[in-house]
Amino acid sequence: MKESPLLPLYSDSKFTKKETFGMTIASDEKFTMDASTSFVMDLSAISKILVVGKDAKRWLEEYSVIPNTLFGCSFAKNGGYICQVMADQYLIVSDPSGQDYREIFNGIPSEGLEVLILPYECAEILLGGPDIWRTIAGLVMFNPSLLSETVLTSVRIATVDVYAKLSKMSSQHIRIIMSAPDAHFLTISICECLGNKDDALVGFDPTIKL
Amino acid sequence: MARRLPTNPNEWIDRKQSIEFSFEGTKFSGFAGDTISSALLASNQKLLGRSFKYHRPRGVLSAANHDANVLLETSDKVNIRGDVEAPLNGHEYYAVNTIGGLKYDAGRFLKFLSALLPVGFYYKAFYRPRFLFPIWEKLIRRMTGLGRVNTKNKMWRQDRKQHFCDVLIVGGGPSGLAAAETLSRSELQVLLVDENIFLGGTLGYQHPYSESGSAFHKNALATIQNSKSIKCLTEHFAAGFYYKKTIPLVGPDGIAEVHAKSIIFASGAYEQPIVFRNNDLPGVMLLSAAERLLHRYSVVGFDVGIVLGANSGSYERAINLKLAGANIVAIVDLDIEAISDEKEAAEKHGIEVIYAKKIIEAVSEKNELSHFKILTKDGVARTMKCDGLLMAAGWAPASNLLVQAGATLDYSDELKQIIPAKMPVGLFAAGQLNGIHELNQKIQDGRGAAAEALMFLNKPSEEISRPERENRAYSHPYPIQTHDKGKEFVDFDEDIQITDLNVAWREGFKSVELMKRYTTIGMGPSQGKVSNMNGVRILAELNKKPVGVIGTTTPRPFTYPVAIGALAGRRLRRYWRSPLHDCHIKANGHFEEAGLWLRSMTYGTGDFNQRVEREYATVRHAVGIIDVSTLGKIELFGSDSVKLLEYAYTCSFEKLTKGMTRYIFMTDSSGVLVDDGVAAYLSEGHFYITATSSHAHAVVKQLRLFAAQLDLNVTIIDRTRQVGAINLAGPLSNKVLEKLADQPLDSKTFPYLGVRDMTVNGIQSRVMRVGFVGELGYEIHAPANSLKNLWEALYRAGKEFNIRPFGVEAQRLLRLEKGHLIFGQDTDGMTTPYEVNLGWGVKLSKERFLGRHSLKELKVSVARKMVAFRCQAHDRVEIEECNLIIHENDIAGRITSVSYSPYCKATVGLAMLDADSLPADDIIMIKTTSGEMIPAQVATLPFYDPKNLRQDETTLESSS
Repeated sequence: MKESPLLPLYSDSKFTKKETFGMTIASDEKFTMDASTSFVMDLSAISKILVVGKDAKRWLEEYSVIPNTLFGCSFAKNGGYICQVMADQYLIVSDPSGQDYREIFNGIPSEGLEVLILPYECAEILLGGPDIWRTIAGLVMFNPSLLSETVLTSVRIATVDVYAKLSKMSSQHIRIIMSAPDAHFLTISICECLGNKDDALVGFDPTIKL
Repeated sequence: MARRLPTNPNEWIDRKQSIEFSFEGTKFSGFAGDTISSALLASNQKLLGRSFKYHRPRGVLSAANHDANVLLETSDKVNIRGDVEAPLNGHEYYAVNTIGGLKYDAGRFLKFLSALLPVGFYYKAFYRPRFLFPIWEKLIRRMTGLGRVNTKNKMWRQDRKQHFCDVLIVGGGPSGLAAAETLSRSELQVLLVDENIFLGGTLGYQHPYSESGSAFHKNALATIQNSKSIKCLTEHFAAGFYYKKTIPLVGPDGIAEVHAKSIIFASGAYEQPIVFRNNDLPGVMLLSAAERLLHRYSVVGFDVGIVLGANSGSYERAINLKLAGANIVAIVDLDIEAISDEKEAAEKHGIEVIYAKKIIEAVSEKNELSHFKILTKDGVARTMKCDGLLMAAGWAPASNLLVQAGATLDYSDELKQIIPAKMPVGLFAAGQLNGIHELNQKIQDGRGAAAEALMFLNKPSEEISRPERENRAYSHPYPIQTHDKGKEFVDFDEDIQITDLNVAWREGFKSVELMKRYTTIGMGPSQGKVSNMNGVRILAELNKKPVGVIGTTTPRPFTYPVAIGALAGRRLRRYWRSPLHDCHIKANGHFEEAGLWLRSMTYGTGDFNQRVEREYATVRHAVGIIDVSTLGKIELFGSDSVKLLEYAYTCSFEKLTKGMTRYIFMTDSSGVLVDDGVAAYLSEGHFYITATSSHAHAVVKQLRLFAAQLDLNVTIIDRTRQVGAINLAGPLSNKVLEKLADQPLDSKTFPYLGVRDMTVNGIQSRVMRVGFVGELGYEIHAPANSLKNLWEALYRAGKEFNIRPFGVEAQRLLRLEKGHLIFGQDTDGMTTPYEVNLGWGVKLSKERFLGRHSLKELKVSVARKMVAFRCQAHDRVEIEECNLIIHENDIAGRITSVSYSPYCKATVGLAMLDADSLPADDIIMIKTTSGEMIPAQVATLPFYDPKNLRQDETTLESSS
């Protein structure tokens, strides 16, 4: 059983921890979006894989539309997205309400194809609410208006290297993917900058529209 | 007497919220919206500070922090700017720079020593006789400094935020508002910033009765409020101009760094004082100070006020002040004939107009202004009773940021003011800053600047022309009046008088730059805002040159003092937590920082040595478990993976077979060791390599660079932070692992240095048989988010074998006994493989690899040599890393690793020695930190298990 790297931040008894998509994570199925408060939601349970190799693109094209530009995202019909993160490296991100990509790519690439499939272990958070742009302005050196929902932008937030993109459902929500060792520091730094920092952390809601 | 007027509709204060505070031990009250100065003045407290040098009594001068007269401190904050900061409930304020309190400041007696303290006295006095200098130095140091920092204060944090916009407008007065209003019709992102709490600038206090001005103000504010593309930032000042149009805006919550594509400067101008004897008394202030106090805070700072008018506009302003409720009894006109309707208008409002030939002096009673003496145009000496003297001599543009941005300034003989001459591309000046003083023209100028900004940004714009500057002197050409007895202050911060400038000039400091540095004019907290212009005028007069030829000095950032906490911003001290961090806490781990990682050094209770030896014993006799997740982990995939490895590393991979690992290291092009690790051959074109924790990122970068340079078909994936690793080590480690692994672990199936992909406790893992600590061991690499599960499972499985976690310190000791190096500790920026007995790992016969040419040469000329040593004493010896090796009274090397070895029952270690200092008798002399010389015997490595029997379970028993 996996465990979310952010689980230590949810030690308060008000959080329920349960297994979701094969990971123990703080859960909040009753989460309701409140436009007046900011929140940080742990999305680490959303599975991700890395498909790499000279023939990665060719093989992936059998299953889905592949983005043509670096960091460009192409969205699958059943949710989730594929993003080219480096030459010959593709990050596949599932959607909490859609089909898990691990099931699609469980098939092994045929012999002769230079394709390697690796699990992509990381942490992910969703930052939302009225305070986020002010918070981000205090933690970044770039112009946040450059973030978009169709590009997974490689940036630094609070000195941490992350991938960030806007949620498709709302431009007030930012999805941030970071390494597991960075998760604790970055999430705490973000929460500290929010107006309602003591209540900002919320558990994962698998029904959330991203 | 100063007092609070009845409510005026435009006042900034909220009379429903009162604020209680104390000043110099006396209780005062004010209202929300007051500044400390206005609240004190409303209660007739005119004495607000003491000057820095002579401790002269001081009061409000500008009411805008253009001067440093009102600097206060509390127990937790120092150098509070009383003119612009609000009083806080319950706070106790004190004036800085006093000895024994403000009213009876003992420093005031320095005036009797003023003859000994001329300008530049510290260059001329006190250094002879030399033996007395330390005494003077202590005395002078006690007198200097502003405020006392309380080092026990709680740390506070302020954020530094980044803002991006198309147009930044600095200044929210009439020109700035007009520019914003014009830009609201475009789609550009505009940021309008003003240092005050409300927008409007001079509209609120210099043009209070202008109907067109009020209408414009109201409409502009409504437009800006309704605009989605205009953001306002009040209570922020622009601190400086930096590269690529970056301006830090400093506000109460920290710094907002703005990156703008273009900037409109509408920051106005600083009203200038008149220089005459005792012009620094409490009660003597700038006319604009009186205007601000009255219109913003409903405070009149005097009972009987006289306006010292020396420029255009002073009559109208005096009349307006009277209409607003201040008792202005006279305008003293300095050598300027008023046009007849202005004089008549003033007299109609009961204001006497007196033409003065000369100002004699201001006179004080009980530290406050009481009288004012002049010589009229007719030569009659007149003494006027007053407690308020309002100076209106002219303006100096607030051009600090313009100059920092590279603008050039000129002196206008018509305006008698400095104005911008040439502006850098993308920057625009408007309003009073630009030499435009009349209200409607200021508005027009702002609109014109906005139109120019639009054109610069290639946006459509209506044609708006800039107004012509008036041919009218808004500043007096020489508002300086001398007196035989001196005390005519030019610079209020530094107590610089006219005589000081004269002395400096006579001593040869005749240029404006030298004058500044020698006299310190303009170098105080207010940076010359209300002194530089008069200083330039005096210097022009002394040099008999026009003001324009003299020039000005360059004002440096910051515009106003900025707290160091604001500059520091939020402290972002990044760290990395291992996936097993909580497990280490649970096991009572003792953490330290290892680069960005937080690593557990030891576990449990007892002193340091007890903990280390306990863990050591566990690994040597049972089974220990250590978190090695910090290791660099790199996956290479592609048909050219071997080619890349052959180039990047010194060894040959020819004989490496699938399912096996080997030790690898790389050098740079000069043959110096850079990093080491392990390479595992997984399958055709698929390798997995490790690197040291500190160099992982650099190794990945280097490999990617080589792959690109050599055009190799290989994908390099950095898995350092995606994969965690656990090392299970000890003679019983196999027994623990076999309970959880789904594959056999015997040496035949899984030999030493082998690598296997298997599941451990159901978790897909990569297991390598490695022997860093010299025992049977397995390094298990698994996905980071599953690692905690794995650790707990191994711990449970190992309980019957007395498994215990061991930390970095025990690992260091264990590997030292085995003679294994730690790169970066046993090697330095010059170490080559041949110096540390790694020559066997350099395959010079390879056609090419990084460092080959250098290594070929280095092989035959080895400058240093690593030796192992063992102290002769059997108890602990206090030798530390970097202690020196002494040979023939000279430094011959240093210790790189040292520890007490339980196995050897002696202190052992590694040292790097100069090759020509290798002792013939195999004894090296170590100089400890305390200076003791300790002999040690050169030893052969490894200290422990020289036949490597411990690393194989089949030979393990025979090693005992």
